[in-house]
Amino acid sequence: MTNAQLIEQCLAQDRLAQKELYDRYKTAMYTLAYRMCNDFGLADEVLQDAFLQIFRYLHTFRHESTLGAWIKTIVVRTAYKKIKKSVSFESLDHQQYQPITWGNELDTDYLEQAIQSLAAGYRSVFILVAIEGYTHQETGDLLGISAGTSKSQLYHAKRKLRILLKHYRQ
Amino acid sequence: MNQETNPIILKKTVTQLPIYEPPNEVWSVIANELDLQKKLQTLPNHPPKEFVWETIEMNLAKSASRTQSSGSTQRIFLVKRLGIAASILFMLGISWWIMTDAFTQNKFQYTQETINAQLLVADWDEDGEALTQIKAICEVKNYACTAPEFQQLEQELNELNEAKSDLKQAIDDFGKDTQLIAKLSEVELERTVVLKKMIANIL
Repeated sequence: MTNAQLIEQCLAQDRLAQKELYDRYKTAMYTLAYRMCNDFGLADEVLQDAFLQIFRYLHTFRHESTLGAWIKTIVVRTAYKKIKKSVSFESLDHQQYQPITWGNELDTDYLEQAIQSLAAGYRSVFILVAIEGYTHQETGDLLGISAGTSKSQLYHAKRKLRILLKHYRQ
Repeated sequence: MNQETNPIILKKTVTQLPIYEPPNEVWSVIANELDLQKKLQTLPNHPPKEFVWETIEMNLAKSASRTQSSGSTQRIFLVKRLGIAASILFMLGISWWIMTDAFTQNKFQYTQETINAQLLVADWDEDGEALTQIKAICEVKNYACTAPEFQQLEQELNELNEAKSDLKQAIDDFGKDTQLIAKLSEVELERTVVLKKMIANIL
């Protein structure tokens, strides 16, 4: 079944189609929700809230992006609402940029742990830009910050990751 | 800002990060909620008793007779104002015709007004004055604001406020969808009607 057919059936409140849509995107969206919230319980709530919104507002989907991108935006917004209170985008000194050197190899498990130990602001920006591929402008729009803040948060997130990864190695 | 060496290593490792499956309970909760929503849509309608409309009609008749007496004097002023406005427009029209026809080569100009959706939405929030007015009256006429009729209107206004904030949130999240904006405009009109009724009720 194509996405267009699936959307049509979901709009007709076909429960099987709704489950199919959920199954198609659940893993990617759950992973994203977990990474942003750093908590499986919150990720469960995000997925529930987000999919209920998706089914409620599916009629507003205008095919201007892919269905997956539209769903992802809703999941990011829902997840960010859950963690917003714990996020602070402190202003960072732009003059103190130093080069970051990644080694020849990075351990995936260590990297996952390091990402999850980042402060919520750094983590959100890192996930959206470095993992999900959003631009700084898009990230800024989603998180309510400027593109410049997104850039500096990413730089500091990477710097922090580099330090954390060095510690894990030792 | 791109002061990184070996950024490709980070990019490669990021693609290998683990993925997570949601527990089955998540879908159960979603399905239950969808069932509930479906059931809520099929709940029976309860037509109001006859006397409800009779009361509404009675109140409408009362307020109509109240406004009728002040309406006739307002009408006289309105006719005078329209007369003055028409004379001004006529004079402006004549001078424009002289200016354009005599001194230029019959140029036609027009302007097009576009409605800014942003402004439209912003305008909807400017009813603070009416609410302040109602609050001030309520402080003096406490008995009027505790009357069941007024409280019912207040309840109605609260529900409309909630609906408005839900719709505004949806517009923020899903963009300026025409259906959502139309719905918001509908809710805003209903709020205006309720606010007017509240004021009429306590005056």
